[in-house]
Amino acid sequence: MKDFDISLNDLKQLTKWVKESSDIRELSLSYNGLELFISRNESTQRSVSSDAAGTPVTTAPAPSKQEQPELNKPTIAPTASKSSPTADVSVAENEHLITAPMVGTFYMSPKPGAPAFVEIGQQVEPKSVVCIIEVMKLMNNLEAKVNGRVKEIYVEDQQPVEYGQPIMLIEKE
Amino acid sequence: MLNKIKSVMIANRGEISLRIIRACQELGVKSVAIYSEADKDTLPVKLADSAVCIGPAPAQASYQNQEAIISAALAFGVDAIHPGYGFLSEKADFAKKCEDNGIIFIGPSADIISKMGDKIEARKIADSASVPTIPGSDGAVTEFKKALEIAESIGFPLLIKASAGGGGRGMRVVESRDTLEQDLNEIMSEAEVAFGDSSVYIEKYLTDIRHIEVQLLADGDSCIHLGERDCTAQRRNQKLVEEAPSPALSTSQRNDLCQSAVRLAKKVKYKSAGTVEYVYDNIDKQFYFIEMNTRVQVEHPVSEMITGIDIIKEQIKIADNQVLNIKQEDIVLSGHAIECRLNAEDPENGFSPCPGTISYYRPPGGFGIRMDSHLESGYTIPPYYDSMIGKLICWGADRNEAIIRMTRALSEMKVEGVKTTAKFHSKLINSEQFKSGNFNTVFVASLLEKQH
Repeated sequence: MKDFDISLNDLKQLTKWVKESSDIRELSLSYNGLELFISRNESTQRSVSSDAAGTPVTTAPAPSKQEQPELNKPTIAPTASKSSPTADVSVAENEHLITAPMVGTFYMSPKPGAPAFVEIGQQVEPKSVVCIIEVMKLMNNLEAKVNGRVKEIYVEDQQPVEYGQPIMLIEKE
Repeated sequence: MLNKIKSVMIANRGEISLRIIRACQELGVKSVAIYSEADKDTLPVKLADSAVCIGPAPAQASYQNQEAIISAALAFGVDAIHPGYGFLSEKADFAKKCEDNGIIFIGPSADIISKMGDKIEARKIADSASVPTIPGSDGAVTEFKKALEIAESIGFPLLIKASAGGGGRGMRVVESRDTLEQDLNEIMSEAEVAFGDSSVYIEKYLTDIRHIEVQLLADGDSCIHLGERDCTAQRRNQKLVEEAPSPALSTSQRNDLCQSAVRLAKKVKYKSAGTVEYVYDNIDKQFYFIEMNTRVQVEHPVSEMITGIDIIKEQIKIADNQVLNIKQEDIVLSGHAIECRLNAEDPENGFSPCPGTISYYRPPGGFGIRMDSHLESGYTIPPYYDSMIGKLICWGADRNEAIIRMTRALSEMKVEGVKTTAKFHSKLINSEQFKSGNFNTVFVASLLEKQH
């Protein structure tokens, strides 16, 4: 992909386009050291981290139930399992399974639309944040805990997760 | 059938979880069971529309973990939470958290729960609603002379309790006027030394009592009663057998008792199902308010069997903001119902709990039998929670038929692999004293003593 600079005019155009597109509630863009975030959700607050590799400080990226009752009301538990949440995941000796330490909502990225914390194949360190679990509007960062590479991601962004549900498999290195 | 509530999360386990799931199914409401890791293969998890694991086995980390349950309700998008009994059912702060997060708590408001949960506050409300309370001091008494005055006006025997005491500490029974001054002096100075507070409560000491309670349904405006339940057959304050109607009350006493419970509920604009508990003094034939339970109770089926009213469904409809469409005159008490609480305990060995695997289970059946249980063959009773494995409820045209039917059902039922209290229950309800209907709260203890 060829590099090109974004002018202020481009940003204005982009903002105008978002403003006119009623089906966009939030937009997040990260490009060449520039970060842009546009939201219609008035109560949504966030802090922007300029260092993409750093651990982001997250403040309520999740649209809460009261703010967006229609848009984001989750449907009931199509994913809630009736057997053990860990039933169909096998973990080899050189692998580390990350499970949900609490019941809540899973987020792949520090804020909606932003790049995911990790992708399959990505290298992680013990302190690497791999996802967020929201518990009663509190954002809990989950860390990889081991050195390795992301092998599997079992859940989708914004999906409700049960206690003990497999989230990610890390191949240890 | 329901307006706002389309889905209910059941914040409980075992038979009551199943009871609520069944009510939801009949109301056309989605049921979401929660479960701990120890309960993943249980009947409620299998029968609910969906189920969510909320934590590890210990109750503090799962069924009593308010954050986990609210988080599950929000993440999985339910409209309401039914707390069942025990666990979080009477925690005002949990009801408040539900309210704050836009989840309907199926029960009264946090405000009512905390008001009625405060014994002194509840007694004041009862007094103001002309509900009889045990004769005694209005709150704590700090002055010796005042305490003496109150004590003399109540009569003997008396119970003196240090305000700051509890769990049996700082309590004394005064048998007669002779020792009153000395006893009072001692207990007040002991309390001063032990708790830094010499104030005491004084009340009439009741020695020959029954435990009787009134089932209510209230929508915040109107309130009806479903008659009383008699829970006198207890062991160490644990109810073993409950029945309705009480064999001790006359029609006019029943009427007075139930009316007083309705007055209390109306006084606080109570909204939900609830129970007002009383002690009934066999000696002076009077009933006295002790507390209000702001939840559904273990023994609620007894009232359902003699009235035909589904208390859980009515409770959910009230939480859905519907007006109670049953009138007091619609309630007809019919026949007699008895409930035995079956526990996985060994009556031969001090009722010690017997967790383990049920190798075979055959439920009892037939006319007038209701078995509320989460048991199945192969089910393993976990050691983390209480030992109740189910409730056997029998209806009969009269008390005698109910006893005979219960005896028949208890012998028909088979639970193999663990020890249960079934045989003990059979002995209990067939004892001369139980059959006579004439007994008090120490009757089970004396029955056990006779056996050994």
